[in-house]
Amino acid sequence: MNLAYIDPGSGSMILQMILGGLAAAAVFLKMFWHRILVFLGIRKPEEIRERPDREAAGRAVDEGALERAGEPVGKR
Amino acid sequence: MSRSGSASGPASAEAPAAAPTDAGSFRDWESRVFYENGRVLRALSATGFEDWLAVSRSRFFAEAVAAGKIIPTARVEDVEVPGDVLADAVAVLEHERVPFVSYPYEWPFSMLRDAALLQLDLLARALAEDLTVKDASAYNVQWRGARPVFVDVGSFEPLAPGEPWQGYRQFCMLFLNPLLVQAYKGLPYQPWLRGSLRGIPPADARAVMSFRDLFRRGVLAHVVLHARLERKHAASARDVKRELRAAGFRKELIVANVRRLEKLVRRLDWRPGASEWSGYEATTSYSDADAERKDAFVRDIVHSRSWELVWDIGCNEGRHARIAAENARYVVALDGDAAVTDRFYRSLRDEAETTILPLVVDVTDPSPALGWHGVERRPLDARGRPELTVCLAVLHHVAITGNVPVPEFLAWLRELGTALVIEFPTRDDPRVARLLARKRRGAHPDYDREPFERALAERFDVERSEELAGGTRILYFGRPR
Repeated sequence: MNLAYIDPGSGSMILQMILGGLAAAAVFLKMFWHRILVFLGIRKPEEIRERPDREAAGRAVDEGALERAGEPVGKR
Repeated sequence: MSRSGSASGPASAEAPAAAPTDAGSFRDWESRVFYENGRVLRALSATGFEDWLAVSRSRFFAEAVAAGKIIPTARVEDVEVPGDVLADAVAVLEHERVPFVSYPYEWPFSMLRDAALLQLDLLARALAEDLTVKDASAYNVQWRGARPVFVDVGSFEPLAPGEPWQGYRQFCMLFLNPLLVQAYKGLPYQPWLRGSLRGIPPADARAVMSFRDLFRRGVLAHVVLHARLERKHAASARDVKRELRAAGFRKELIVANVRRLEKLVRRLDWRPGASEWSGYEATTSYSDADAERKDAFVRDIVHSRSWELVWDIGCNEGRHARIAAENARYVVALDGDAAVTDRFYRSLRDEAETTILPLVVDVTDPSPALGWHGVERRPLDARGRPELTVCLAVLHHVAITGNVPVPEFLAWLRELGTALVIEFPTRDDPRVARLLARKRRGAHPDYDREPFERALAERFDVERSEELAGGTRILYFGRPR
């Protein structure tokens, strides 16, 4: 890892996680939306196994997903 | 700031002979700008050279140079790096010069905004090819007329996995916060940036935001939350970078943040109310015939020979700067009013003009030497001397509003070594009368035609003069004695 010649600032770096994360969080929410539906008994549990958590998390922040992240979560 | 110092590099019209190393480019230890025989060169360390190889092979870099977004740069082999420039230099790059170096505290709102958009655009394109910028200094942007160009090639480097954008905080301090305080608070950022080369820290931007501002776009996240997190983690010894990487920080988070910033900056707008000078050109006391004679006078001088650098002092919306540009290599148009300069810039930008640089500069308080050692940011007149200076409808403001004695103003112009087109509005001119009416009776007794002509003739060979507006305004053209 390169060391910066300017101090990037601890708070500023954490904020980047949060800001990027806000977009990501919406995606995560979407990813888990059907789990919530299952929990509420609206959808059947089998569907969950098709998407293991890890894979879902890995896919969560692909660029396209980020672009859609602004959409209301429930829209899906 | 940065490699930003390098900004002063590619720009300088006059390479300082005594100090071949660029005084502003010392911060980045992987590269340093220096000058040789009028060339702008950059010495690279081994790491800096590796970064350059990665960047110069990328598609984004070639495209950005071709589009005029990054200063043309090439590796050169015919230059020895002086030992005091960079001890372990392994390669040298040469940059194209920019015609006149300027600094963010001289840019009106729309210029800083466009510079910010350029920085974000380049970062977004770099990220797509797994490159990043190690900083985000507004001083890394320079101008070719009304077109911004990124000059700090040393800023690009390969993106390390899991690493955040090191320059985000700097982006906020030197681009975003100045734009926000201007757009939301109507607070001019130029004096602030001139007083703080590092920019406006989150806590200071926070201090001027009211409760209502929290609901304005960008304030809550980039200012309020930023200031709070910074305060909270100021004394922290945590290795945040490592924690972020462990938590799965990835490029896409930077991409998302950059996209949000781009959207935010694009929507920022500053609509100044009528300033003292807006509408001036439309409402001058000149008749159309006189205005045309004035244009013709300036045009005659401009076309009497070709000029390298022309300054237009008190350019307002640029009528005479445009005439000067008809036959000059480059025109720097100065006005102390940020609102009219902003409007002038926007019209130049819409015309894709590349020979006129509009700057917010009050000529009675021109940009001084600033920064470390007093040489990091150079005074206005150290960045290129004009061959011709146009000073129309400005002398009475300098002398009466600014209280600068006329002979001293003329002496300063003479020191620049410039030829001069200057207008003298007499005490009978309605605008002069109005300025004098605000002062005590009998103020500025030396402001009169006869003493002015004497002071002018002591310093300039007056070759031409012409009376306008019934003799209340006189134009002169002189060459330095």
